[in-house]
Amino acid sequence: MSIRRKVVVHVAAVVLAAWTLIPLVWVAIVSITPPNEFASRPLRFWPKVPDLTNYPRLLGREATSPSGKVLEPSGHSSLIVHGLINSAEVAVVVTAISLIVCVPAAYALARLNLRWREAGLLTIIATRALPPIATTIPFFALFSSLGLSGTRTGLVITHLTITVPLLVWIGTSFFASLPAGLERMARVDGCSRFRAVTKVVVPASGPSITAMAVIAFLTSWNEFTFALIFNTGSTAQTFPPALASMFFQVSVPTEVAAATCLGLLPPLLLAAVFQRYIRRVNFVGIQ
Amino acid sequence: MTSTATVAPPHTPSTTPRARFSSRISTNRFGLLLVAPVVLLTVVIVIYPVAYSLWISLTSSNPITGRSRFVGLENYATALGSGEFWRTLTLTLFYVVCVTVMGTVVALGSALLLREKFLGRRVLMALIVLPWALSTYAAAVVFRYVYSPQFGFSAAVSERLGLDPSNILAQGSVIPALALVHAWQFAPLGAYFLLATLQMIPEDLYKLAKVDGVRLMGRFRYVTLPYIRLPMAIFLVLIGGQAATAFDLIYFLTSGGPGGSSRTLSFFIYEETFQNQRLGSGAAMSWILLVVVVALTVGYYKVALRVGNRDMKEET
Repeated sequence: MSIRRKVVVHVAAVVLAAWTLIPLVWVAIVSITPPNEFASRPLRFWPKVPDLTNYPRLLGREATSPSGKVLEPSGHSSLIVHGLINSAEVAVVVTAISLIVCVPAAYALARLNLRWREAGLLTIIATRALPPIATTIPFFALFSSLGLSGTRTGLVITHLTITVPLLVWIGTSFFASLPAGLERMARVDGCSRFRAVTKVVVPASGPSITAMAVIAFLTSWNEFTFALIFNTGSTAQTFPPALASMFFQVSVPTEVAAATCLGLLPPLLLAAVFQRYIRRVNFVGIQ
Repeated sequence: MTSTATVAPPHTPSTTPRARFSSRISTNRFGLLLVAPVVLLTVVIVIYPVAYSLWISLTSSNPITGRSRFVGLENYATALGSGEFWRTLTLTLFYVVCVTVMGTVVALGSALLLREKFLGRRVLMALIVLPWALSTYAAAVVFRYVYSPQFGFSAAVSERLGLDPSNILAQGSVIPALALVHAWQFAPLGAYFLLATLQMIPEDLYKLAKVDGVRLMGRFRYVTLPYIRLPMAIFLVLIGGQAATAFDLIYFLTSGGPGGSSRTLSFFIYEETFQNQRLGSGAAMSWILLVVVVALTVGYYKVALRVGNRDMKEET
């Protein structure tokens, strides 16, 4: 590689890293800016006295500021803490149901010569084209008559409308990429159809199934539209609408930044840990 | 995609009675058994509600009594006859174009970069997953802090450069500014799967083209582009569809403002349905949105594939 090309490539790499990271790092910096330094002119890229008190205060604890003052817990702490707990519960249930339902279906659609296979796959994938705002309307009408508005169960149902087609789609392309004849070898060794799947195919697709689980969890944890419309203000409110209410109420921007960091940490960590698996998601596999 | 042979050999040795039983059920039955839960779930939680929303779009409900009556296509006629509807639809299309262009530039640029060898390549490859992991609502929250004229990163930078921190989310620039956030969040996905395709292009093709004196842009046009045409088309459809139906990002950053200058169709549907309590009208508009998205997607695929085929013929 010529020197010039090397320089261009490295500069581009720095630009891409900055583009990716600056927005995230900036929120984290705002969250540790003490109130007296916040928005003071000229704006500083790093606070003189970093102040971590927003975090314990949002989790409902007292905290001592760098100047030695004891601060009360944040007024928004119960909103945020309940939001985080509800989000975790909903996301775990959504992930479990999605996997139980989608892994077998994706396997069958990818590797068995089924009648109606193409039609079925197309129908399931086509549902992904539905605008979320369009599906909220019938659910709004149905949930008010079924009493499911403002419940975790209702939210799980709406999240499944997103995760199920998504996981069937990516799962099908995962299973299709496994070597042909994998099951036949197991069958020759005396396994039943069912055991061939559980003992051979599933273990061979560990990383793929992990990726499916991570994607289902992230999708549910980050889901905003349904959560806003159905669960705002209820006891089953998840983190995104909780953050929205804090955001649009009277609140301190540095505190909102800290709340944002708390809620974004789980998806960021999960994605960072499993990025190698997520990268294998092949959206081009189904043609 | 080919399905693998799963027909059992005639004398499968079986160890347990259960094995014998399940070996005997046909491939088709076994498959249907596995697919059944998804089919059932899709019918109950997707197809039924969607059908129900078609019904809602044909009714008009009274927000106070909650009673609704059948009005036929009136909601569609009202929507198509209203200036505001067309304004939001035009705005939506402008937004789609902005997001698609920015997202594609970033995704393709990242993919081309990540194909090169450089220090920290593996770290960068892992880093770019982060915006994707956040979803659009979280990206919007994060960019509130970047765009704010009082405490935003952009304000801090423009101060250093001696410029007045301007409001990026002002009327004139709000759509591109929102599109940038969307592109930031969605481009990593495109980068990953364009990269997967780029890595399949044989290195020799580039060497040959170089020997023949083909310049950088020419090598991109004649070597790279034919390979990535299909994944590109799929990425464009994905990101375009996402953009056309964007809601949470707009809700968080501008709530349709200032002065309705970022009121896209999705946001208009939200206001109409949940703020004005006109479910029928909202449902009708969301069906129109769906038809527009599907028509654009199908139209785009047709054009992209035809252009692709024509190029192939030219080259052979």
